[in-house]
Amino acid sequence: MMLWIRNIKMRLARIERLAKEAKKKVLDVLKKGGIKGDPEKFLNTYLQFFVIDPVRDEPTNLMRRLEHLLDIRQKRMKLGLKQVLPDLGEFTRNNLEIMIEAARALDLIYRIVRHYLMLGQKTNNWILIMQLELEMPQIVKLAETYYKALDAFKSGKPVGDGIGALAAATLMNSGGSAIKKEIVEDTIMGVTERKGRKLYVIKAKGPGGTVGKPGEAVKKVVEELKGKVSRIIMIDAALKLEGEKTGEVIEGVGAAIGDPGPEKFKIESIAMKYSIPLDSIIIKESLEEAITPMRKEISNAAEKVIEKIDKALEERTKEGDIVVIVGVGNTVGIAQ
Amino acid sequence: MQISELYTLLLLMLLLFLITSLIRVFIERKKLKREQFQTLTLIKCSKCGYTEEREFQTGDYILKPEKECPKCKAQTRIFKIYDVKVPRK
Repeated sequence: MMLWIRNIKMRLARIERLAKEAKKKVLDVLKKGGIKGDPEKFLNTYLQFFVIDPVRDEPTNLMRRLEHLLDIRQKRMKLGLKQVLPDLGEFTRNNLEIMIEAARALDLIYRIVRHYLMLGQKTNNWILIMQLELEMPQIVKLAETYYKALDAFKSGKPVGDGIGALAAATLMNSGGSAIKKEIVEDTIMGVTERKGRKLYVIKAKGPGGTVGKPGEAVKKVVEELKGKVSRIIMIDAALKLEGEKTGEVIEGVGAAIGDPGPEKFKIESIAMKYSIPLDSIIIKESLEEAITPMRKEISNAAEKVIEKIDKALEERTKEGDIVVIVGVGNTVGIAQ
Repeated sequence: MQISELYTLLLLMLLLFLITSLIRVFIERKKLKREQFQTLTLIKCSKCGYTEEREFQTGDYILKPEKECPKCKAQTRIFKIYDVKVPRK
């Protein structure tokens, strides 16, 4: 048990170092941005910020209640950043918001591991210590991944998760000049033509780091078109299993989106309401690849996705049809 | 077993423990240095297909308008930004 504790402590020290360095990086950006007031005090407020899950025993309006809470949380953070950094651009503020999220995740990992270590020592619970020792390599890897993600958001580089947004942006600009507008907050819709079909392409508003509200946007577009949509095609990055190839593009059905629930629920509901077939195309990548700068093999998948969309348009729709295409993911470093 | 033998055994065990710890630290450090990446920006002219690859600069983003195309004088744009592995020296 002593050896296990020693190993856990050694790795915990590494996590602590990463959490401290992450905090320092966020503080540097806050100071460079000309923050009003004490940057450390501001950051500490958001490092341990929490959202209490809505009651799940009573499922009535569960998704709407969850969405409401998530909206409040996001608006509070955006307002907080706007108040202390009014002169910073919107996109830089969005990137900073994600940097704070990554620093928060690291801080949480550190505090949870320390909690279980101290609890195991206090109660002399060797099973708890053994479990922690066995889990430590994965926990350290997760912490390192969050730490690496900070640099991507600091410099505004596209991340692996943005492949859906990249495919959507490429599609929006492939058929000449598409008509683009902000359909809902932080979400852009472009109308373009391809293979004789009218495409409504949706993605988050870039190049700042945001995922937008794709569910709300799909709902609005389909309602505006009174349900006259022949297909909804979603594009998103998906976690690969160990041994699978990064950047592999595969197809399926259902709403390809990894949100906590509300956005996915809206897409499924609207597709069901008007009986619209819901297709999805996913690009395989690991968690590390999803939140660190986009690898070349993932970036190259954008063309393969468009080939799959072309095939779907030809095989499953006819000329003159309306198709909604949604590029899901964080759009940091990707405009429209 | 004499006391001196016991001490020698303990000393040997301690040495063994120290050596394994050192090897472990060394392996972990090596693992950290294993993969290095470089971010590149690919600029493309949508009119003639001319492409140019350069190192990523802060402020770059996909679809950002860039300089004139040296071939057809149309405006180029950043087409892609990606990480490539740097070969180990």
